Amino acid sequence: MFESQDTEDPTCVIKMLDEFRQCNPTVNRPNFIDMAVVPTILQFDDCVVSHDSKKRKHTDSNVSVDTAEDSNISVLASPWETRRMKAELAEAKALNASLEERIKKLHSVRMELELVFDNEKTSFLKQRERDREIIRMLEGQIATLRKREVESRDEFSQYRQSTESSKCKLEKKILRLQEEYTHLDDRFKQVELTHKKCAAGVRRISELEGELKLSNEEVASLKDHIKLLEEKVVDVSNLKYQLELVEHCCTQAQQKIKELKLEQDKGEETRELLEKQHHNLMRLPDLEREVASLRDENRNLRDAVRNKLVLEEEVVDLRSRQAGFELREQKLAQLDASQGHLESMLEHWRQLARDHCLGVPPEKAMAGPEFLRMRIETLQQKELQLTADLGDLGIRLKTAQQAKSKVEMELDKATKQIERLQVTNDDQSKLIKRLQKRLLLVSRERDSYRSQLDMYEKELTVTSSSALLNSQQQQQRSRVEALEKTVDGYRDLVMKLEADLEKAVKGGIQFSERIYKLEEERNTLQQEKEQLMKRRDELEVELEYRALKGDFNPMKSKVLHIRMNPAATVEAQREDKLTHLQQECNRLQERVRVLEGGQMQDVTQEVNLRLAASSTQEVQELQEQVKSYETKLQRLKEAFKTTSQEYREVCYMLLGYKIDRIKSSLYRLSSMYAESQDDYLLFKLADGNPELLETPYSATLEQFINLHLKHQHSIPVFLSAITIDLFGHQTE
Amino acid sequence: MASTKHQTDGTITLKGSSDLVKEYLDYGINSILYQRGIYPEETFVQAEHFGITVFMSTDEKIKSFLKSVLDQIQGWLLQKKLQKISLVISNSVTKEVLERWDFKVQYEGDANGSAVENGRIIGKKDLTVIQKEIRSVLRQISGSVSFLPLLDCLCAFDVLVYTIPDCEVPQEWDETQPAFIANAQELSFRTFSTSLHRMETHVSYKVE
Repeated sequence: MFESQDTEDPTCVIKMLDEFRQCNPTVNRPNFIDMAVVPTILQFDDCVVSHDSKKRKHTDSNVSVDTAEDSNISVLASPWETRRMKAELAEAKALNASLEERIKKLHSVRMELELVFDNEKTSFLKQRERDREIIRMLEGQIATLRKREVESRDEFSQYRQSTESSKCKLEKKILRLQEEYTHLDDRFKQVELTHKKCAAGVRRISELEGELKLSNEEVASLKDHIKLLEEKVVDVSNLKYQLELVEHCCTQAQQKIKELKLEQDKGEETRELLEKQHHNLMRLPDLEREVASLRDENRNLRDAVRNKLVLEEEVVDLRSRQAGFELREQKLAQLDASQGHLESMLEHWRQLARDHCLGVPPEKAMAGPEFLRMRIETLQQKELQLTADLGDLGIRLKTAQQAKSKVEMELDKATKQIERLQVTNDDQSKLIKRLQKRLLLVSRERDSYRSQLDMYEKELTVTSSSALLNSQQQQQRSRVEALEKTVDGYRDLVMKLEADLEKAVKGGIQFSERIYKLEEERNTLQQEKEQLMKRRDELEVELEYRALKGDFNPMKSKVLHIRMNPAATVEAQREDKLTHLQQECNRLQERVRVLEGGQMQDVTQEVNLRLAASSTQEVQELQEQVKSYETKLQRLKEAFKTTSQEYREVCYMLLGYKIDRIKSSLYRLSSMYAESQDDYLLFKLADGNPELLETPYSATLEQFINLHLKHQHSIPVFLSAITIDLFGHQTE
Repeated sequence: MASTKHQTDGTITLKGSSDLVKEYLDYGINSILYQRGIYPEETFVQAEHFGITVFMSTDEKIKSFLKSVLDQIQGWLLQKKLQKISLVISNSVTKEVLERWDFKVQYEGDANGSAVENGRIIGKKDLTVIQKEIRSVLRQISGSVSFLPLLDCLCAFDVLVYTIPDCEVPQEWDETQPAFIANAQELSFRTFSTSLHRMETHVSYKVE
């Protein structure tokens, strides 16, 4: 704002001054020569400092103006001028006053602003000093931190190295200890085994001794027992002997009792028999009388039986004869009936023969059959002839039919031809008519032309006599031309119409063809539609049938079930059982193998070891993993080899040195242009910087070493200098 | 049970109807498991429901499984998302489906003389009539053992639920394929209706 005021004011002032100057150009110019410097110095720039000088200059200018005023009055004596001058002077003074006021204001403002700026400047300076101090502090801190960092890094690297070394030592220790441990373990196991065996042996011995003592005691006791038992045995045997004797007597007595009982039974039986016999004897005379009577009866019965047999035979005979007579009677009746029938038939035949054998007198009717035969023969011959005639006639009929069909075909062809000819005839007649019409037209034209030509000729002959008929000629010519044009137009029209007619005819044909094609397409499409409708109906029926049967439409429904359902649990159980059984099977197989191998002790341990050693699932997986890793490693190694080879070759070719790594920080360089294989340089890596070591070849390069390494401290330059030198030697 | 089923005699609420359907399914599935010999007879006890004795399983796993399935089915019934429930009996060794019992649900709440009282859909049917119908179906199922073919292999059962396609699948449920039986013979049992739901029962079994 200050600056804008500044710019505004100077411009106002400048404008006012210019106006003023303009007002009094002629007056002021000569008097301003010595004061010429003053206006020019009035250059209002934006600097604050120059404001004082401005003020000063302004007052000077005012003063100069005043002096100019005074001198002006003395020169010009016109009152108007003076009045004007005074007015102008007043104006200028007023302006001056206003300007001075403004200037004062501006000064005051400037002073205030100066104060403000000073304050700000001081504050900024202080801030700057503070910032500098802070910066210095921070830099100091940074330096310390960097030092600490470096120190800590060094420490860290040292620690790392120490830890690594200690780690190596410890690992070695561990290995040693492990080896010792395994040794000790083996020895311990061996000792244990022996110990166990000894202990087992000793135990066994003690056990056996104890057992022996026990058995001895038992033996003694048993011997006493045996003696007792033997005495008892003797007693028992005696008793047995006595018992046997008693039994023997007992059995004998029982046998005697049995025999006596049997005899008693027999005695009773005989007594009963005697009683019965006594009864029978009493009845004897009665029985004798009965016997006599029975014998008489017997004789009578036998006679009767004989008579009966004889009578029976006679009856059988008569019955058979009767059956035969009955059969004969039946046959007789049948024969009578057939005879009557046959006689009637014979009469019929005779009648027939008589009827047919015409012209034969009835007296010779008895020899009818022969006449009948002759008639039949004649009839048969006639029949044969007639059949032959029939065959001939049939053949003739067929030939006639074939001829007729041929003729009909020819007739059809002829009619078709006739039709075609008629059509062509019609066409041609039409054509002829058209042509005739054309001919008429043409002839009319010709006539008209002829008439015109005659007219023209007449006119020409007329006009050839008189030569003043140019205009007429011209008229006629023009008329002729017009007529010719109209004729041409008519011809064109006729041609166009004929072309249109042909097109229409063709179009008509085309349309008919198209219609035919469209109709065919429509038929095919209708058939397809019918087929598709049928298929759709069938499929709908099938779908309904399947829906009824419980099938489901994925569009309309979704099937859900709980994950932990009984079927799934059963399946899971089965799988568990299966894996369990598989494992047990494996274990048992191993056990069998171990046992077959002959080991009887610690079988389970051996089995577990073998199982762990054999390929179980985890081991298989791990083996596969290991294989994959090994293949990866192989591939990486190969890739690394190829890339490293390539890199080394490229380095060799681009830089001219083959770098071989001999040890961890020892490198051998051989140049591309070396004169022999033994010309190599050795570099050792120390603290990240390579150092040249002494070699027989490097002894010859003292010059280069001195220049490039000792003075210039640059190994690349040294190497490139050597390359250039060698290359130069080679090309020489 | 009476209070939830009817406010006045003869009215059934939607919740009450779904309860009836759930109970029917519970007893029906248990009796099928008993009749077809999926689980040994010793694991079943008799219980009195709907006026007849039904055999209910005592196996905790089956009970918990059925409870979770039937609860979910009841929820879907109330939302009208359920179309069919299938009890599938399959051979546990060969995984072949031997029998399938279908329980088809039709919703008839809006058409058959139901009124909307207090903003809820109510059906008008006497509870005893419904119970008689359910009883007859359960008796028929028990009697079906006489003609269904013998299952002489180890069997396992599963419950499949057919719903509308845009039904969300709960946490423990999976989407699966339906169970088909080739050359199946199908039989229909009696249907019963609670005036809000209509249950049809069918069995499809493999013909020997």
